[in-house]
Amino acid sequence: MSVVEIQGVTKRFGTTPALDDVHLRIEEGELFALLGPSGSGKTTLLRAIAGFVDPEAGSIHIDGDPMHDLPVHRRDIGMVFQHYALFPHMSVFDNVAFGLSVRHVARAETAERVRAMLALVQLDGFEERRPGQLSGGQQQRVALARALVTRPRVLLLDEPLGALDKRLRRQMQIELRQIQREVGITTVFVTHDQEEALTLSDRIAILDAGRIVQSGPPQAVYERPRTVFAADFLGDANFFTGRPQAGGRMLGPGGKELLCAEIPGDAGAEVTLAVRPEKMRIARAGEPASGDANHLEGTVTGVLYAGSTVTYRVACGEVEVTVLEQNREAAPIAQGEAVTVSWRPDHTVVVEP
Amino acid sequence: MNGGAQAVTPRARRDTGTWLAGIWLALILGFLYLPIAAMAVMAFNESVLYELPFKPTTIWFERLAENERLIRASVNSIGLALANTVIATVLGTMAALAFARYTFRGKTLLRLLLFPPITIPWLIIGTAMLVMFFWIGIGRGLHAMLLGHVALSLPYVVVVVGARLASFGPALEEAAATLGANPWQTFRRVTLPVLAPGVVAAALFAFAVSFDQFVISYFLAPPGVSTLPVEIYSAIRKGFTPEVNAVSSIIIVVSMGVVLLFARLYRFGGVPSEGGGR
Repeated sequence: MSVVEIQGVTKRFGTTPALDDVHLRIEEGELFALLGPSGSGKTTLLRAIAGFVDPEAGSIHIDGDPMHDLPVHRRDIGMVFQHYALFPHMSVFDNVAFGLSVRHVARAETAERVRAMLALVQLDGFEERRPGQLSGGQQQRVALARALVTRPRVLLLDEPLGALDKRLRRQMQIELRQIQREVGITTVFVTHDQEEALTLSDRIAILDAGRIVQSGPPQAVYERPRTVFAADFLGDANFFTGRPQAGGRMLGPGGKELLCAEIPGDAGAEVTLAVRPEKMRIARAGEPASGDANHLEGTVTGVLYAGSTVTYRVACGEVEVTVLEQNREAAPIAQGEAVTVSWRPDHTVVVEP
Repeated sequence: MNGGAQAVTPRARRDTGTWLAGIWLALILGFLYLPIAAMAVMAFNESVLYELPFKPTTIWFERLAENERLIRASVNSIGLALANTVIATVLGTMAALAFARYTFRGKTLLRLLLFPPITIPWLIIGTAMLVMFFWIGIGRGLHAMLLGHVALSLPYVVVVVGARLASFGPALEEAAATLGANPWQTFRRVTLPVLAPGVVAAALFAFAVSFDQFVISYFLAPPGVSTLPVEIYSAIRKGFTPEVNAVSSIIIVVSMGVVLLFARLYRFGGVPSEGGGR
């Protein structure tokens, strides 16, 4: 319903920059994830959109309206807090009705909208309960209903699923996405959980030290990370550093040539390649390898058996490589065995250090 | 056989321990409540000189009803305590909110300065106030006593309300703001209701500090004006009559009532959202 534009937003706490010249445009109806480690500025950015944080420089617009100097209560936003922040002295109904009541919406309309919203989050019949009598997942739904009932322009979620256990989290992720689609509201949500960001969002921005390292659709960011940080934070990655050669080649560990079309032709400074562990394949030495153009010989130094998958640590000369395999073999390769690790050149990405 | 003997010994020791603890507790409670009980009993005894045997009477309560000095002192005490409760609770709650929700220069220093009035002897504070009030022309009187009582009870209010405020953080108020509530709506509909048990507790504290106050009242009361503690003190000095027992008994009953009321309020309001039902 609304577009959020963030231009050159900067904020310092003391001397450390919490946000450093952040530019971002969140499209209408989009679910946008801010992903980063703690202290990366993702929460500060969310709170700047909400109006709790005053940027020192830059501007935030919602639908072209400048948010500068507009207090929180006049920004027309909905927000779900990390620990829900439900009003403990009010019933579920009164919690959800709060935003309508401060806007002096008529009683009959309030009742109707609150009931419709509680039905949307599947909490019909809970109107008279107190927040203290609800489970974590139910509290989360009440918080969502409360934030949506005023039909805000933007929905902000601050680690909304962080306080739930893993199973409930999965379920709520799916529900959250469904509700967001149904309502069609522009949504910004903060998380440090990369899987959550990947499964839920239309687009992701990865933040580090107050800067946006990379943004784009989850698949694009995951498959084509731009920096070592982005590759490492969103998923796992193996890195190889070496001198580029002509024709998209690089001298990898043990002087072995690695192929990647992205390697710049001008043989200048060193480049770093990133390869996702699940893109790599492993075979016992002597057995037929995959035939992929990039391959390294090594010795298995560690085996992590996780049921559906097996993770291998393989020492290839001076570098150690992580390989993630589906558990298809009758017996996993044992520690100490000699192996060949291989992968395709188009699964290899050049990243900035 | 050996095992059986061992099984008995620790148990016997535990029994002795429980027994000793019981005696200990009885001694402490007796030490606290026997004098009060004796006073209450003597309020109903006919003899002026506390002579036994006990002859029940309500004559001292009747005399009390005719004792205008004591009644006037009681009215002063109650009026002063009520006024003090309102002023100290409002000011103290505002101060606690400022400490908890805002950052400003000198906040730490100000917070530190709150505590000495609790620990400095009242005698010294009373003397200081008397000198100061004379010097700047406030003088003595009920208004001066009220000022003194408010100054004394403010730190208690700030501490009690502050503890309650610290227990819920700013998230509730932030949530209210995102839902469109202006600062006043947020305060009235979210902060104050959640804060209420703390405010009630603080008000009871403020009332008690003022109602019990002797030293400050004694220093700041002009001739002819007194409060109940001051009046009881002078009654004792002039010659003890069981009327004092009677008035003290009434005060004790009222105080106990307040304590019970407080306990009820705190149990029901102190835990967020009827947590007792869980």
